[in-house]
Amino acid sequence: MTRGRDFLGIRSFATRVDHLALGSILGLLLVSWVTLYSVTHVPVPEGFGAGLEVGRGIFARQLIWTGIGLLALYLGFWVPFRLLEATAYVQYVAVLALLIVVLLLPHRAEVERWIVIGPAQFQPSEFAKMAIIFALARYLAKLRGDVNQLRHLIPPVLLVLVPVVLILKQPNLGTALVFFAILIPMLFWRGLRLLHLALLTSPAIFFLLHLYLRTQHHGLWWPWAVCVAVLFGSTLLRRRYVLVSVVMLALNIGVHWLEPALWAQLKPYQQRRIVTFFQPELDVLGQGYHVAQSKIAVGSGGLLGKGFMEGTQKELAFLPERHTDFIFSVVGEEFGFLGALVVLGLFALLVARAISFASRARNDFVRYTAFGIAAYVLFQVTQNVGMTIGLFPVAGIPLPLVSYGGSSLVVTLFLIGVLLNLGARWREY
Amino acid sequence: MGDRLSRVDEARATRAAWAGVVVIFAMLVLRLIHVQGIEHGKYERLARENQFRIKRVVAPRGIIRDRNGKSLVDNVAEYQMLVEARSLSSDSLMQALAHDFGVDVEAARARHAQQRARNQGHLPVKLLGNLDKVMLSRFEENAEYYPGAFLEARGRRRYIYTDLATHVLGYVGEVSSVQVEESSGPRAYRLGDVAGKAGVELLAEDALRGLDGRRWVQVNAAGQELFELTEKAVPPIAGDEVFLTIDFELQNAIENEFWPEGKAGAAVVMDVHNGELLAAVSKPGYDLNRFSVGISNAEYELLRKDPMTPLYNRYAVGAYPPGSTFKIVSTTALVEHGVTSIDRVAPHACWGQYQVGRRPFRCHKEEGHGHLAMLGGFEQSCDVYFYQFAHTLGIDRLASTARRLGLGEKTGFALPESRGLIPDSDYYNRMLGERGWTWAVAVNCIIGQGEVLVTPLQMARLAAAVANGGRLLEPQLIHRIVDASGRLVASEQPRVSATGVFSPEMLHFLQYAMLRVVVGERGTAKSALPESLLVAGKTGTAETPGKQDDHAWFVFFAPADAPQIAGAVLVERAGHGGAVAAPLARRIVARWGGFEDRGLAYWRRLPELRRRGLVGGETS
Repeated sequence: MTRGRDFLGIRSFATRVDHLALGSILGLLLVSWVTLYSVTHVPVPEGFGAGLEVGRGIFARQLIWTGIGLLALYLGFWVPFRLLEATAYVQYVAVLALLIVVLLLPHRAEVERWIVIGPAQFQPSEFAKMAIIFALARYLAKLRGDVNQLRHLIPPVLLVLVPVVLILKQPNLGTALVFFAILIPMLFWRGLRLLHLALLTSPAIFFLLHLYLRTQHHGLWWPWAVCVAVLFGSTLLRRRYVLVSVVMLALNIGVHWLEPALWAQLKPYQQRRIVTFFQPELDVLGQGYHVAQSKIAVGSGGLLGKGFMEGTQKELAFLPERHTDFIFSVVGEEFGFLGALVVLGLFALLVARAISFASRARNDFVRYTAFGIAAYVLFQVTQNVGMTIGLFPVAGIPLPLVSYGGSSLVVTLFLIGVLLNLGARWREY
Repeated sequence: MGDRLSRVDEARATRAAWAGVVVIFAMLVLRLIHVQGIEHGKYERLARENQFRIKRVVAPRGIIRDRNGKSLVDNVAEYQMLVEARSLSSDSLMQALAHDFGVDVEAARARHAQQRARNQGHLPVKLLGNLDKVMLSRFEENAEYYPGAFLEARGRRRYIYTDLATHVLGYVGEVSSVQVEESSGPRAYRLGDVAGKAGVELLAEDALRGLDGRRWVQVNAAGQELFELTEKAVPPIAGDEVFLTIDFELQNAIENEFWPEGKAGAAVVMDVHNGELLAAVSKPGYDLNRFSVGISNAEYELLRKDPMTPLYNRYAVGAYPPGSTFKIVSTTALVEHGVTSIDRVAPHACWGQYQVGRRPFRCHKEEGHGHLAMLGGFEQSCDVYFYQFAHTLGIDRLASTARRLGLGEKTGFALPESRGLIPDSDYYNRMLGERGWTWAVAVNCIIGQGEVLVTPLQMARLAAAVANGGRLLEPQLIHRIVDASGRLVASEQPRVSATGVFSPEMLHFLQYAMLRVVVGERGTAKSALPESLLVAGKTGTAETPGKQDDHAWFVFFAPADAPQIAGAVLVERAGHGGAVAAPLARRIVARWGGFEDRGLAYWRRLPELRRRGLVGGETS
């Protein structure tokens, strides 16, 4: 057999790449094109949707972004792994610098998330997600010791908190949540115990409890006290947990005291979203409108959907943000339960491949990176799909690979390139 | 092995990760089954034809009533024309509306752009307000030609007595874009909403607004209503009713006093026990209804440039020289700072004028008042009596007493008010330079001229303090707020700014001296209020710059021996306080409550009052 020239490594890529994972990605990109085409190419009837139609240019632009993204994927596949590991902290610091630059740039609108360079604009927070995966993976891989010990636990939490604080200042609640959704599964993958996980996440979970009590029960406080007493009652009794418990208890009490101030720090639209989530009937014309319309679209799709380019909700511009955050509603309306199942199945396949790459890898950095990418994709899918069907509050998180949006697409495809890289060469590391 | 997880741990974590993924996807799929399977019928129904709309039912604004429940401001039905945001791009529709109703298409689209900027792009856009009957029937007869446009009923504010209590009630207008942006939650404002802009309408905005309701209606593709989901309807909650402290009869009577001559002025009547304002008049006013219809810029300019300044709130923002009514302050200052005492005869007799250096300061009575003690000086309002103490007292001590009595300071009134001006040496230093003035400024100020400025509200409050034993009260305008179901939401409590502002001796003197102004043989209000025992007061005739007529003042309380109300009357450029303002005050008091009844009681008690020396006799 003569070995031909492998132009730019394409042949090697084609033979070594994990075909299931690659297939799921291509399938999702196809779904994205089909749906965006439908959103942009069905004419809005006369008299409906003044200024609400989504321009055709969106579709063309997404095709270009997909091209760039596929190049990024290919690049990710060929980037030497050691290089990513060696430069993980450098990337992390560079991204922090970018986030600070965004904060210092003059305000563009209510929210400042973009850096504009010539015709291109990008969201540094997208790159921050990528950098945090590498930085955490490197920390956890190099860690010599038990992550259940507090002194080993604090550095990764700090690694995440710094960009989160910078992003919350922008302010972008949804993106900040993604960071914790990456951190917690990665720690767990490193062997963090469930009880520790409960302790670690208790300030955030009890903060949500606080918000619930504030918005629904006029700031009733004793249910919080009971929950805290149960959790810390069970941990404080065990000798090895005393130090962690005391610290976390202090944090919880701190959150309890700070909660009114933190609530006041939230922008009015963020407060509205939280209130609307707990009590959607309060605000059907505002934030609740989006979710109500989205549920009608998905629900009316039924088993088989209304058919390609036949969705009436979408067509009549009832569906807001139907090309970005609410694109899944269009899928649900036009292709029904089966279409939604296919999309979820493709994502499940991708996540499953990522987890099996992570579990079979011999190199620790590979283990954690693969798992971090899996957690990242899984969280975004869960939050986004859950939002469109009324399971989770509106948080401004796109559906990876499917929603319109350049930065997110390119970053996600690059990360998946890295993932494929790990999958193809897991023996080498 | 501390550096790497054991095989067992790895296997455990892997199993848990798989389990997590399965649980998460199962949750999403189950929810999808619920939404697309179990509830499919419901959502399909909602999506069919062209789904449901949620239409707002604007809550009627709360009624404003007087203290006895008489309504002063209510609402009448008015129709607005709106268009669904999606229909705004239909040129055929917009052309039809422009042709048939004169809709300004560009303005409507600009408005929609504004709404979109505030995340309200999906809400209907207001095209026209206050549709007349012709337009209304034209629209309803041809509704099928205007798919996407619809009418919305909402209350227009009606000020039943047009310009009555203009500067108490205030007016409403379209909400500003700043207010829209700053509001949030279920009570957020939308562009085109009505909100209080001035007066009680602004002050009690939160109570008056109410809570809008919702109707869920199914509409067809043209946006026309087909069916209402009545079980989902949320009825609006009407705004709270605001009961003012104002007494309509009294307010109206006072306003009528100003009317036929077209004189400008102000009057305030206050309950001496709690500071409630029974009347607050500033004339001329203007027809408040012009604002609820949506006043045009030209009309507003006309009002703004009116030489009678109807937009100007004279009773609270108007600052006037107090003239001799200020002698309530001057006498208090003289006694407080030990310059003279009540019963001491002044060293200089009044011969019609008083010489300061080479400059003569005139008394209002050319032939002079002769030798006077403080009571004579106050009763006859002799300027020379006060001139001679000006140097000893000094401008700063006069000013400190005036401030203690609530002049030159805000009264705590809820509507915009002016501080007036109580000049002191700092003030003159600032305005004229340290060498630009002499102590002689005090000669003018001590009789309430010069730079001194007060508001009628401040003077009424001062008179109330004389009447109620020295308590300075915050003027109240809202008596109580009652919600649509009649439940009391709020009631105002009296707020006391200061107590004991007069010494007992001074209090006794002022109460007596103010009665003497009215009943004394030489009292300045004697000729105007013959044998009136009801009212005790102090006249004032304030010189105005230029050659215009003087402002006439009367500051009073009543009934004189058991005071219940106090007040101040000011008539601009009307002449002498005793001749113009005092009779007006007397009619106010008569109107306020059964003059005849009380009067009889007084006449019966006259002999006793004579014996006690309260009536008749010389004082000098």
